[in-house]
Amino acid sequence: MIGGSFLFELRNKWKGLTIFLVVALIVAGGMVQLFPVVVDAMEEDVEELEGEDKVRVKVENGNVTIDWDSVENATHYRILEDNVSHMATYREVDKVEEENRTTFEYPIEEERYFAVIAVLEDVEKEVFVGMGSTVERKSPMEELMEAPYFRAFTAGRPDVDFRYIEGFLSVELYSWWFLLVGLYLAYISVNGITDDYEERRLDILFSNPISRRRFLTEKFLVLVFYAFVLLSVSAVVMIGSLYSVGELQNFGVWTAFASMLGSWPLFLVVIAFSILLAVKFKRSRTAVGLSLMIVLMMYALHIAGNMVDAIEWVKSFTILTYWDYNSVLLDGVFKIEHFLGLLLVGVLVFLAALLTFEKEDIPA
Amino acid sequence: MEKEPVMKIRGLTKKYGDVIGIKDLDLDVYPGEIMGFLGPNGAGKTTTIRACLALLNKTAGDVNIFGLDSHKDSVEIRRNVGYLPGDFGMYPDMKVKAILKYLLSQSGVSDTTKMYEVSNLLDLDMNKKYRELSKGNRQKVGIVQAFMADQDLVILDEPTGGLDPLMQQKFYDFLRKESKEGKTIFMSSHILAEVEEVCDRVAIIRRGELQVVEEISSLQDKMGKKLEVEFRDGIDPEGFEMDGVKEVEVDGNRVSLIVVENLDEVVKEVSKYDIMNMSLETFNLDQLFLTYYREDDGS
Repeated sequence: MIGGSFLFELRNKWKGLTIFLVVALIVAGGMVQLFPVVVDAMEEDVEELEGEDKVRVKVENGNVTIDWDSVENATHYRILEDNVSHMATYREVDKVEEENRTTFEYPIEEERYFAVIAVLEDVEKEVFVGMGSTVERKSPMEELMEAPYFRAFTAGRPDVDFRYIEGFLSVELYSWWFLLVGLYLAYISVNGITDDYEERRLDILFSNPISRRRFLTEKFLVLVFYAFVLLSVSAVVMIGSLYSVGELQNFGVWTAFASMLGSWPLFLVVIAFSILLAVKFKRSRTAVGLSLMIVLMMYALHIAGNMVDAIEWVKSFTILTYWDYNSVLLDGVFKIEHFLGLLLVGVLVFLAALLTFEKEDIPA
Repeated sequence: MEKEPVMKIRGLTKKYGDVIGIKDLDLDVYPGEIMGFLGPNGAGKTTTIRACLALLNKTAGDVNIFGLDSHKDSVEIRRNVGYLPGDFGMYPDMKVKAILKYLLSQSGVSDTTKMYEVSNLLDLDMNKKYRELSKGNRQKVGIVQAFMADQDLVILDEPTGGLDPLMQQKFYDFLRKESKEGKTIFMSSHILAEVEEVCDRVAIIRRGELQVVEEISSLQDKMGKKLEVEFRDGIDPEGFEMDGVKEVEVDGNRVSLIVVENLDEVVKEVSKYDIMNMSLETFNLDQLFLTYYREDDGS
């Protein structure tokens, strides 16, 4: 019966497929829900340092210059330094006689906090004057977007802005969606084939009038179909979630579908390649290990290429580069040539898997 | 036999790298017969069967089943061939009935009559999950799936492994019935008694090479009969070295003769002396088998 194994595979695997579908939907819908909360939290006003209006810190030519408002009856001032603003592990770096300004060598690149304490002779006590920092104070959002690791998750686009839903989802969802879905699809694609080898079912399955070509093609189509359903439903759930947080108008239904389904041929390549490994190695342990390693390697190369300009060329070795979700999210452009190119690669890899499967003996 | 063979094997060779699995094998299986394929473990029985069914690529030779090429037309051939592998698995979490129905649908057959007939005959509980079955019951599932599509040729690789003796007898009766109804059965086995009991012909394979293909009865005839006589007095054994006597062994007053032909003449010669005791025994496949395999030990 044509399609018999297709339906049988779906029926046999439905539990695992459904569980992962739910996980993917929680991630796709959940990330949207996090957007307003995270943005609110990260755009809080910059926390002021105590007495920062009385202390001014300036770094120039390897020296730090600190000046402060003078305190009446102060005989001298103590300058304390720490790398945190609450001065938990301070050390005294200078003792200034009566002056209200000091300059000393400053070879450190990281942010440092300096606190000024006035010592009053007649009352034998110390008075906290204020505190200053070597760098300009920024909001957590600004700090995040300027951090070197943030670049790693922007797929090489400097205009990804975390304060907008497109930028937020680009970093928080799309940047690791390949890893989440790719690893799962690689795993089930391999096991869908190697289980038949390892549980010695192939002799009986091929005692029926089914060609090896049809058998493998139906297995492939089940997974490709599943990936399509997974991405479509994820897009629908995302749209619902965007609507609930009032961001659907900004994001758009087309953007949700185009960005999600743009990854479909990417996963088709993952599935085809995993099937190729499965028919070549026939053992789950080897084939699963290799396919997961390749997915992880592609992701790692992509991230490394985004992060370090000098090795940006490594990205061309990963298929992940050809799913340009930022082009959809930020420019509203769906790169059909990438979509078709990936589709072609997926089909070619699957043809290689078919040839391998048809050519090789079925082990007893 | 004058009929066109159902399965025709010519020069079939399978190598695994430098290791020879089977070599230059010629064999015909005719319609309606039960053919035994006998050999010890590792002799090449399973390799032969799997090469015929295109589960293995052949290194050389041709196999024709129903006049079709085993590899080019393998899908078409399998519409008409049932197969029980020597070692197989199924979907452990599925119920037997669901597995069998799925496999039956894959054969393109919707009639479940034969499926129920064979499973009832073998007392198979089809409502259990495959993982819950004993080895013997799993073998029954394999047998049912091999016969349920009611195909004209059934290839069985060591079919009775795991079946208890009573079930084996039921299975032999079933095979004879199927054969009478016109089904062709090709079964491998290393159990000599099984082949002797159910098969019309036997092919013996050793180290990947076919040794002999004969009807069971004609093989037994060729092996001859063992005549053992105990005489009252000593005799001259030279008198028994006559045409048709293959071997003469003397132990005191006891003489053992292997008689291939001229039994009548031999008995007349024996009757010239006073006889205390006498027995005539037909060789069975055990002895035949040992004859072929003794050479492996260099003895």
